[in-house]
Amino acid sequence: METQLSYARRSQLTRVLAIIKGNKLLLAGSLIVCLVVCTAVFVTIDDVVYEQALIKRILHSPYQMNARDRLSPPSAFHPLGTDQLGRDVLARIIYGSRVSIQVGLLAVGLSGAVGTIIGVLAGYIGGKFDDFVMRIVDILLAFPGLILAIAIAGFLGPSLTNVIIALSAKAWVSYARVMRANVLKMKDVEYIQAAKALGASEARIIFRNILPNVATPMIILATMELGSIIISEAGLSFLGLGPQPPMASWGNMLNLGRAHITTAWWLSAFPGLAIFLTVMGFNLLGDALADAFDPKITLPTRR
Amino acid sequence: MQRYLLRRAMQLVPIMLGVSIITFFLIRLVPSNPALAILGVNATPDQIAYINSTYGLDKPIPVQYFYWMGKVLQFDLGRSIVHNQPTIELIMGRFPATLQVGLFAMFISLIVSLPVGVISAVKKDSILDVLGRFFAFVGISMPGFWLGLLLIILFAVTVPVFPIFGFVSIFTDFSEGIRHQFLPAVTLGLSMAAMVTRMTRSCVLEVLQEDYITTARGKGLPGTLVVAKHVLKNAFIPVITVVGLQVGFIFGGSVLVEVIFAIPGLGRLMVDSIAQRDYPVIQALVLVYAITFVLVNLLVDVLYAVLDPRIRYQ
Repeated sequence: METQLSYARRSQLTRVLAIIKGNKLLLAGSLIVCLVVCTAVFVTIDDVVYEQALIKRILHSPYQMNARDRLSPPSAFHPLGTDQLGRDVLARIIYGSRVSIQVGLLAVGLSGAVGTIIGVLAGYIGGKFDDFVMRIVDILLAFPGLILAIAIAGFLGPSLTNVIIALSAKAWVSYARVMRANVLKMKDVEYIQAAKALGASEARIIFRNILPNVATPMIILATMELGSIIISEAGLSFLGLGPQPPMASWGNMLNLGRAHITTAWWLSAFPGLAIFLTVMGFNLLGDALADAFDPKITLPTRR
Repeated sequence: MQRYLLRRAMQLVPIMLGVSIITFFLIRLVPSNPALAILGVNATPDQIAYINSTYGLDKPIPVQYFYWMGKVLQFDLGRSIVHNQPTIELIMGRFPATLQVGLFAMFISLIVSLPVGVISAVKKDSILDVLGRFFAFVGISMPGFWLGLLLIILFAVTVPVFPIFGFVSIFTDFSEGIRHQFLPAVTLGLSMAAMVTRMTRSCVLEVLQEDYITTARGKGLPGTLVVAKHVLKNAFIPVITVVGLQVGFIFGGSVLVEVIFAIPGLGRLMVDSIAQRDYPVIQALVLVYAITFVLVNLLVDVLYAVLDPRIRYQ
């Protein structure tokens, strides 16, 4: 059985590698995602360890105000211009990547973990517990789009942590549904029945037999969700519900851009472009992964 | 059909109940005592006692819930602290603006997404299909509010064809109303169009593979007639459901769009109420949004059952 499993895994790996090689979109997606994640890592190190020394050396400080250079258009000195306090827009966009990636990964991690646990348990235990979970899912789905997140962030007050909580409050639902459906499909598969007959404990069946097999749809779903979480985070920050200034986030930069839209187009154009490209990277990666692993995977519709 | 309607409506009861419980507890997320949060730190004990008794905050939580629910059932959603008027009046005053922009956005999204999706599927792998898929992909990755800002820069600042912001009702001045709502509606509509295009394309592709399409072709029906008579009718049924779900997306997106274009709608009221800590208004808005969304989807399900009799017997 061991050899058969590893054989199956290897053949899947070769299939995936072949697809990656021949897929330019997947390559583009991976490159964009790598670039943004590396930038976020660089920013975290630069900010925490070197107190912005590195970015000051290559560019400008993202926090340094300059009264003489306010709202100056893109130039060789300030490649993407400056904002109303004379801060360099490119440096702030680079620093803003940290918020997007942090919120993206943490919110997707939190909602993914919670959703997977609840979904697997609901599918595995079934009965009353399953009914109860599905009711809660239906109730949460009754709140349209961003509304619940905006309200939660509004009640909790603006901060990075609260944005993550607000976005995860509903996001776990899609993982729970997908995981539940997958577990239900698997429950009657022969090897699970065999494990049961051999006297394997429930925990062993869940961890050794079920979870590894639902990992693929989970990873694909998480990649796709990253894009929409990043858009939602930017939306909340745009409304002033995210991390507060002087911390740079793409959403709160766009909010400033709106205030100066008639005079300084670069304040609106570039932070938005950063969001767009990042989200596109994650979407390309997610679509390509879904194609590579399982063309028939069912994913929930965005509400 | 009546039995289906009744059954579908009954399913709403537990959902509505759950929605009301969550909405009720939302206000408890406020980090401090709600009365203090409402009044500010300089509140006198008398004022706190007054707020506590008006909102029933001095009673046990289940009692508070039933007290609140009883009022909600009589369409009393509390009073706004800032505007000192019933929240339901505020909400009704703001509803028309959101409705107008939302419907306009939906119209734009459908006139774009349905033809693009159908052509993309029928001419699969042609240059038109590649363009259609590109449009859908870009639309899905694009944050709607950024699109709004770009549209303002292009069509209101650089080439001033449209006003930057403001709202004119189409009932007071039709052409000015359309002119004012065009950019917001395009902003909301295009984000939604991307998703509906994808859905339409895949539904049409699926129907194209059905046996009855082969039969229709086999009996010599010209291609366009096959699409018009057999494909569209069957492919659009699942699309309707997606459009219903997109209403939720429009509600969420309208908050951002109303802020960008300064439209006095529900979303703007929500953001202002958050800034002013007008908690009863936020709570009431969440409830109204959820109820509207649930009812729209009930309507969509009924429409679905009318179009596809098989649904009624499931």
